[in-house]
Amino acid sequence: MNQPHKTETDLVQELSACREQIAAMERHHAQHVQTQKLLEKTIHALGERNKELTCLYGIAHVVEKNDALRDILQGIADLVPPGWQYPELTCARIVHETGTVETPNFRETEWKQTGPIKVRGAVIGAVEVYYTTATAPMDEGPFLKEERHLIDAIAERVGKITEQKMADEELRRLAANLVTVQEAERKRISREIHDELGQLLTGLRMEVYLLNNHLSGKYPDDQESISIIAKADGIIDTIHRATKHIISSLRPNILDDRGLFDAVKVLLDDFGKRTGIKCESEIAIDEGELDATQTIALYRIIQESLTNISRHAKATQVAIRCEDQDEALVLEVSDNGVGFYAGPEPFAEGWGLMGMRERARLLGGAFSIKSAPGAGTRIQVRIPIARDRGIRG
Amino acid sequence: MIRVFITDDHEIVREGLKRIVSDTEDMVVCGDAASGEELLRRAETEAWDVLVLDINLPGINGLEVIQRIGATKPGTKIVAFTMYDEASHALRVMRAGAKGFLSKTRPPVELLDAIRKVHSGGRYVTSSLAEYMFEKDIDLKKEPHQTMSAREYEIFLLLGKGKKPKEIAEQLEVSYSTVTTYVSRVKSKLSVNSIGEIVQYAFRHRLTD
Repeated sequence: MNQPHKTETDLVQELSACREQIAAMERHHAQHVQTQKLLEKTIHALGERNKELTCLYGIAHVVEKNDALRDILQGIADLVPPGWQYPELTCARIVHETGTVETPNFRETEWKQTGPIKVRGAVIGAVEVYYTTATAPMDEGPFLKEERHLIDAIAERVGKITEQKMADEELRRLAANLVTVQEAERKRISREIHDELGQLLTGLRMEVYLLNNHLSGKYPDDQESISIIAKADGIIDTIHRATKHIISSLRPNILDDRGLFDAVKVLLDDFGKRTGIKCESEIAIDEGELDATQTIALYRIIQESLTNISRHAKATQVAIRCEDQDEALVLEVSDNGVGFYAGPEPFAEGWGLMGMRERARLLGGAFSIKSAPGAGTRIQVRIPIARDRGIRG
Repeated sequence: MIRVFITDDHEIVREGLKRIVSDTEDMVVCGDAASGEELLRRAETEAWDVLVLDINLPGINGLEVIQRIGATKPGTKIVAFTMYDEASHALRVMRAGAKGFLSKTRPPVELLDAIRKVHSGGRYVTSSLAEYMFEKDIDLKKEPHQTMSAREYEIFLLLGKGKKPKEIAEQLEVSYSTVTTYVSRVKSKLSVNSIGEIVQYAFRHRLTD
């Protein structure tokens, strides 16, 4: 065997180099261990953050899926235990001004963490988390500082959700109030026009009549003056008609006097004459089961539909059907016009359609439009009706 | 000379009416009043041929005035007036005893025609009102429930007994909308606005015994 001849110096150098390498490797290893520890710590933290995120996403989902505040609060309370370190030992309660909800395993203990729920700056309740048994001490009693962040975040979310619900409720009240005020206004204006304007016109017409008598008595050959007076009289007649029409569209007396059936017949009659559109109606309902608010709302919806049809539809036929269907009354207004795009969401709806939708909603009902370009339009309103046993109007 | 008395609470209209009637050769204004009470007071001592009366008066309403005049001064003919809706009031007003009825929106000359017509013993209604009455098959000489067709009467009796429209439709085996059409016609003939009033009418006339 041929081995290179190594001197002592060479060997010492090699040993030195080896020792350096080992030291370097040890340093790398130490760094590696450190990195590993950091990684584990980061993964653990991510795991916890993930729980938090899961919890918060879960809350968003609960809000989306539920309408009633109580259901939402219950859903949120149920999401709490999985977000904490020891889910099996965790129970939660949400104390809220509208009521209290708790997880099924709820028990009050001394190991408690709470976050205040604030609405518009004032505390209206709290999110409470309890451990059912003792556990290792952490940053805040047995709870982590991350859990403090989480509970505060949940409490803040509940506060915001409550504010949103309150705003929705106020909006609904305002909308209902607006409609009531609007109808009262219309009734008042209609009454004033009826009581004052019409009478004054009648008086004016009498003066014109007298003027004509005197003039044709004194100057029987003044054809021009006589014809001017005749024209003035004709204009007064037109104003009477227009006034009657305004009153009728503001607040039709016939609706209050004779009911929906007759009022719609008159409305359609007038509409048919003005537009030349062929109208038919079938109103098969027991008017005794409708209250005044429902009656006027249905009338307005029909009125608005007809306005839309005369303006946009280019239709030749209109049909109105109103019938009882078990727990609800269904009103349909259909036309054979050009139709319009009614997508899944009430996207670019005009105020007219929104108004109809709103009136239906205020009655606790539903509104839908079925339409396709060239295939006509059908508007449907369904409102719940209280059926009673006794003899009513 | 036709002796005319005018009652209307609106001053401008009342004054206009007075002047129009005065201006007419065959008529004379005997007086005017702004309320039913005033009219009835003057009726105790005065005599007229034709009374022109707004049915929407403050205080005692026009219908009651017509009935009272009919009772105390049966020879006086009444022409009743309303601002707008003839159809709603016509039946009640005519059945109460008015011989003429028209809207204040009509040309003044029609009022004069009405006065003359009722004075000579006839009735006066506008052509649109006449059409309405014809459409609803209204006969003023008979009792309201005697002017109904067989079917209308049948449904009227059932309503009077307390049956609801839905039950009637089932019982008679007709469509619900047919029944509601008839309900509307019965309401028109009886001059009532609700099924409750139909029941009351049936009870008053002992038609459900």
